[in-house]
Amino acid sequence: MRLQVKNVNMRFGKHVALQNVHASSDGGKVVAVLGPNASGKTTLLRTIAGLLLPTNGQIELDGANVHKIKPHDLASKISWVPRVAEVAGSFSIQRVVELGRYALGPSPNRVESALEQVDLLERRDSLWHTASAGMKQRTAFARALAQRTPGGLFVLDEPSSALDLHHLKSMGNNLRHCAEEGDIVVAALHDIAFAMEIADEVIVLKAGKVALAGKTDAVLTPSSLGGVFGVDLTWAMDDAGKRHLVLP
Amino acid sequence: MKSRSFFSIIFLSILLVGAVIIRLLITRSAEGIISLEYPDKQFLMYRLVPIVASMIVGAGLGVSGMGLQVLLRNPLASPWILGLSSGAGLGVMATMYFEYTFEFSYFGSQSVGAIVGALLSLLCVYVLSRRRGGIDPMSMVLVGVVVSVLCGAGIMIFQHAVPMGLRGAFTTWLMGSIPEVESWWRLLIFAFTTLLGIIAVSYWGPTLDAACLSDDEAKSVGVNLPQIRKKLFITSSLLASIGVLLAGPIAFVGLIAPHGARLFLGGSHRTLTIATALCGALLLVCADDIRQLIDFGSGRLPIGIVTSIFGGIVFLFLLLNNRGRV
Amino acid sequence: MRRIFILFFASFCVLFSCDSEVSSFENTKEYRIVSMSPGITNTLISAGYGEYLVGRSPFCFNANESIPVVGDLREVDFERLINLHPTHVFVQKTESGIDSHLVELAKNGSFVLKALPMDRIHEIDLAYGEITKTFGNKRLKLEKLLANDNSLGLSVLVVTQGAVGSAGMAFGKETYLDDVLMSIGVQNAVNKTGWISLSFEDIVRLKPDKIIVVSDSLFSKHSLEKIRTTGIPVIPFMHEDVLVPSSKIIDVASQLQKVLN
Repeated sequence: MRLQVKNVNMRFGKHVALQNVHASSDGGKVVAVLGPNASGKTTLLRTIAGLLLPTNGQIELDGANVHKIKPHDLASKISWVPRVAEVAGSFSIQRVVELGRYALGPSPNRVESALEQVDLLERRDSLWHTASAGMKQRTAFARALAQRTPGGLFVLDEPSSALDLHHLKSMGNNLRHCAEEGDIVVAALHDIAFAMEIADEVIVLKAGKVALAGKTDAVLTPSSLGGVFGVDLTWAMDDAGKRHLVLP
Repeated sequence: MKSRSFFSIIFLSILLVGAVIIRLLITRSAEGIISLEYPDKQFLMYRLVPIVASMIVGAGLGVSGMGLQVLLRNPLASPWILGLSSGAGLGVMATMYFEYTFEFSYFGSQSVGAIVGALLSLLCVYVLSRRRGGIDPMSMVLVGVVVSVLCGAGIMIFQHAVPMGLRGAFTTWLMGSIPEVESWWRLLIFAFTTLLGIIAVSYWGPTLDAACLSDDEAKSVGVNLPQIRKKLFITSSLLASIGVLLAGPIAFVGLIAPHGARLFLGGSHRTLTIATALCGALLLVCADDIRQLIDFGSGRLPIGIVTSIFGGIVFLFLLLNNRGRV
Repeated sequence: MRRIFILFFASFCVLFSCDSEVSSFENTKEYRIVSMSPGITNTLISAGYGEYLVGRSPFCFNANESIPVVGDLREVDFERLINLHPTHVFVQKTESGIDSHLVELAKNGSFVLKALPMDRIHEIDLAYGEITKTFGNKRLKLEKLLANDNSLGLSVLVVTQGAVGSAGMAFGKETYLDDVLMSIGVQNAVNKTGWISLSFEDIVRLKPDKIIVVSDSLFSKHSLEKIRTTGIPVIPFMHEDVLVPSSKIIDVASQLQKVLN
């Protein structure tokens, strides 16, 4: 699987959300999309996921324009996790996860496995609208896990904003596992340290343009990130020298 | 179908059969004494026709309301939110005016006026609420309100232009009326069309479930949102229009029946559609039952008043029992 | 949920166990008349045939309360109507037409259906004649009303009581009260036909000599005060038959003439 973002521009009226964005990635990688607020992260991810038609440019998956693929076929190639999930109606958590299989046919095993991966198996019969923000986020993640086809594209928009440390870690492990199965995982993240832990590559946006792009270790440095976010960053490593701590 | 859904549908069916039997047997003597008796042959039609009509109208309005609640992502949506009732009223009023002014009349002219008015107002709402090739739910609600207001103004203009006798007739039409006399072939056509509509919506059940996700999530799982929204709009409009054609504008059934059905079944739309149809039919047959029993000395109450009072009380119970879940 | 349904069924049982008010009214006369028009009901009663009434509309307030309500022209309770075994059914002929099923039942010989217009005095006169011919075998006419001229030399505006802020509905040309005005020698200040909604300014421009506010029950002090602001003399005229055109219009005319003289 090869993802190519070719000269994507997005304009909403007079507002330019994305400008000349180029990127590409192959299967088996986790790509983190970082940047300040309103830098165009969500717009870029929605465009990549085929949910938003760019003003110019195109997104290609193995050479095929994602915006020309029929919805039914697209569902088998791309899974999407929104920043804020919405469900109108009275569904159980399990039912919401099952909706991920809408285009692909029912698969109780995949649904059960997805629920287990996000630690919601015991809460499967709870009503979605009574769930906490974290549970709703995990449900959306599980829905996408139940839907995804290994080797496809997995797009997530700030999937960890409401997660506690335990589930954050669990999500990180799940995303790495997806990448090992051949997925291209593209995730917008605010947590720099988390990004450094799970991402192979990063794209850093600023005001709709790509400010930085490349391998994580090379791109994410105190000076480069500090310049993008406009703050001085405190950068530290843990005693084992494995985990970063990044603070403004 | 899960066992809970199955037994819920059976239960609702039993309730409906009970309400139908009661309607068949309620006998009001000339002196006002009420009893339960099987009617003489000469009265059978006057009971069977409203039973069949109530079931058609109730089921159609219920499923129409459910479809619109999914389409508009609004639990308070009902067929009337799209200006359907006002449009039908304008059609009826316009027909009365032109018949009076140009002195012509033909059988069923007011029904034709009602359906033309309803469909025209729906067409306005559809065309004006389209955005980038698809229906926008928020625009649809706003345009529906505007169309309702404009149709209401049109009604008032015609009311000023017609004699008092026609104004009274229109006021009565507005309160709704389950017919007690209707040709069986017309009822058959309406029943068949309503059944087709209900089957179609039920068949689309899984798509309706997925359409309950946000737009992005629904698209990402493979839902063709513009297509299902168009289908829902057309089907819901047709089902509600049949209701208006048979019985005039009847309040509340389209709003309450889906919520009542959800109490029993939860959210999955394939079975919810069937339960909603049963609930809608049950509500209207029960309202007609109640109507037979209440006579303050001025005859039976118009059905619209009974559904509003009865429906309002039922809706209050639903809200209190399910805070935040409607 | 279970409690709600138990409550529902219990209410239903309670409703069923309550009898409706039992009517003691019985009618075994040769004629059994159902009238679905208040005007025709009043005419039947005034002509002396009220005893034959077995069914009425909800607005036939002058009929015995115990007579069952059969509905009005827009919604007929056919089952109740048939149960009453009427010999004659009277409806008022209006622009909204006659229920086709009533016509069908009449054609099948269930009863004699008479649709009588009652909007003008000559129509009321004809209806009175029809009723007296049908049940009394002799066609009678209403007591002749007086001159059709403006012998009183007055221009008068007749209005109903207005709702809050409005001047009420005026009786224009070709209405039964316009006929009454002509018959008592008074000119109608309104030249348009039918019932007209007038503003206070319209009333002032019409310059009637007097304004008559008609009601069949109480007067609202508020509406009378409002119309007095026009500066034109206002005469409140209350008569129980002034708003329902029937053969009792003769008495209305006579009382109105006394008031204006």
